[in-house]
Amino acid sequence: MLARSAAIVIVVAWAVATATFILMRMTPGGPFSRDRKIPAAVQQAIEHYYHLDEPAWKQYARYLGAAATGRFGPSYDQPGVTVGEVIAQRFPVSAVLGVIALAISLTLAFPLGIAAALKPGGWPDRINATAASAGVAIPSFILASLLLYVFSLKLRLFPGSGWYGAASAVLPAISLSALPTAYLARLIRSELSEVLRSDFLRTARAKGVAPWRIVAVHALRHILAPVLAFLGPQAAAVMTGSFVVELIFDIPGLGRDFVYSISNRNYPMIMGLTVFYTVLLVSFNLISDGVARWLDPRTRRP
Amino acid sequence: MTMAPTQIRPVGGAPRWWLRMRRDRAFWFAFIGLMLITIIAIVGPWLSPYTESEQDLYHTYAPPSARHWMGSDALGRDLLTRVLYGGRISLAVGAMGALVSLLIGVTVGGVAGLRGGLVEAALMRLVDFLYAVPLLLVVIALMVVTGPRLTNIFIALGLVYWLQMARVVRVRVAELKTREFVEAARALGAGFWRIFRRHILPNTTGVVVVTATFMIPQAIFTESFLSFIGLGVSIPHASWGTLASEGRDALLSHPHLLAFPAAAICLTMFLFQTLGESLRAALDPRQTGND
Repeated sequence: MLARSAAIVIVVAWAVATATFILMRMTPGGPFSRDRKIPAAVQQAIEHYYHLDEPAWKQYARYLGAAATGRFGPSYDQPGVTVGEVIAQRFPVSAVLGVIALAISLTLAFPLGIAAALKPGGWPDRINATAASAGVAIPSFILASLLLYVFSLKLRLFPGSGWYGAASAVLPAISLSALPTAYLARLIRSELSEVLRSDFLRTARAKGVAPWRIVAVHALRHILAPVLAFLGPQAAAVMTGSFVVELIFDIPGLGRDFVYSISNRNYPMIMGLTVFYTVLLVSFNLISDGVARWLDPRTRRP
Repeated sequence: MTMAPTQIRPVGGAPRWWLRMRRDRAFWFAFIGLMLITIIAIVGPWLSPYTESEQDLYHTYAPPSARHWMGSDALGRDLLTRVLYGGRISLAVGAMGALVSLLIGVTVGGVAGLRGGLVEAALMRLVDFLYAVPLLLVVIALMVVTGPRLTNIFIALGLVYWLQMARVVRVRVAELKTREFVEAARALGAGFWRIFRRHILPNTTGVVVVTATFMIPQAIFTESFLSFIGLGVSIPHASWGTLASEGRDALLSHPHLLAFPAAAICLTMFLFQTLGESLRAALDPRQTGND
């Protein structure tokens, strides 16, 4: 199981690294192409230094070897800083923000989903349905801009840019959590209402077990596995959200740097971060899937 | 001897899904709303006295008024006209993204489901593998290299979103394959493609339409996301995402520049979502028992 997961991560990372390598090779011009002619000897020396004069397969092998050990070379726009150093410095900020966002989603989605499942058609159910539609319909960059305008620029309740302590995390975290909350609440509602209809819970009700006990003790453990399995894909939503949300709130995280590297055509950075995000997401998916399987004995192999 | 009917319908009268959907108010709300948006986006720019890129440097950042209904932007361009043009682009992206993924997905899913065996195993393994790849990152890399052109967006979106369609169609086809009318057609000597075209495809319409409807807002969302981070539609064209991105730059002083494109995006996504849910309730075989 563990070996298989590791193999999947490696194969996907290799495929994405190869795809990015091919794509970046397709870009016209090289990093040292200039409008003005520079002496041929200098050009050659530079290209030799960065191994650009080698055949493509050799560069590819070199790139894969370096990528496997987490070295993606220097960042073009910050001389002397490697892509690995940028990741080490920026990623913790994004990670903290992402964890807060997922925590908000879980704390909101559980009560909402449970209340909706207990009374289909009741007002929590209607809030749930509306929130689900709204969460899907409002892109994170619009929600983030709206929150920034109302709560930071107009009401001045929270800082609108930068990363200085808890207050500056509030608005970005809410922006990031909207979509996962909408999906999670909906998932919890549908899974829970299915469990509540099952025979063993009908028996429990017939025996006179209190309604709150039925949900808290008997039903919730059955929806834990699907919810956990769902968290993996939601990490992807939080990640894509972080690209724009960090940009809007000017948070020095990896997402903002990724967008900057895109607009600056900082190729080593784009390649490195693409591979890094890929490994991160695939691992996250596999972990959440694995934990969900482990929790649910029915899907465990004998 | 006549062939068994290719489409399963209740005997006589309108199909059941239509009877169900006709009474669904949410469906009509979404359907009419989307028709209106589409018509306005197509016809609107011709009625406007301004063009998309016409600058009026004496009237920059004008608030909404009788002259500029949605105000004007940093270069004095009429925002309403730009939102209408942007609607054309965003809707085209949604439709084309859904269409490309529909063509690829239905072909792959259909062939996999019908052929079975090694072909199915190979195709579905590929789909499973691509599902594990964070494709948005690949799209970003693709857009960085190929440049922000409209056709590139169509291709990129289509290449990403066909996976879901392929999966849905394969399951449906594999299930249809075992039905008697397909067996009857085969017994009568119908070939692979004939069975696929005449007997299988028409019966996948329900799931294909539902899946494609949900794909349109996804494609619109992804395009606006790409435009927002500077990879989407480029000058001189502007999609809703581009307009929202421009509006963000002047958020503090001129919030209307963001508000109108943002509202257009949210409203359209919401209507497509509602439409998809109504269609699913009416067409999805799992909800309706036997078609």
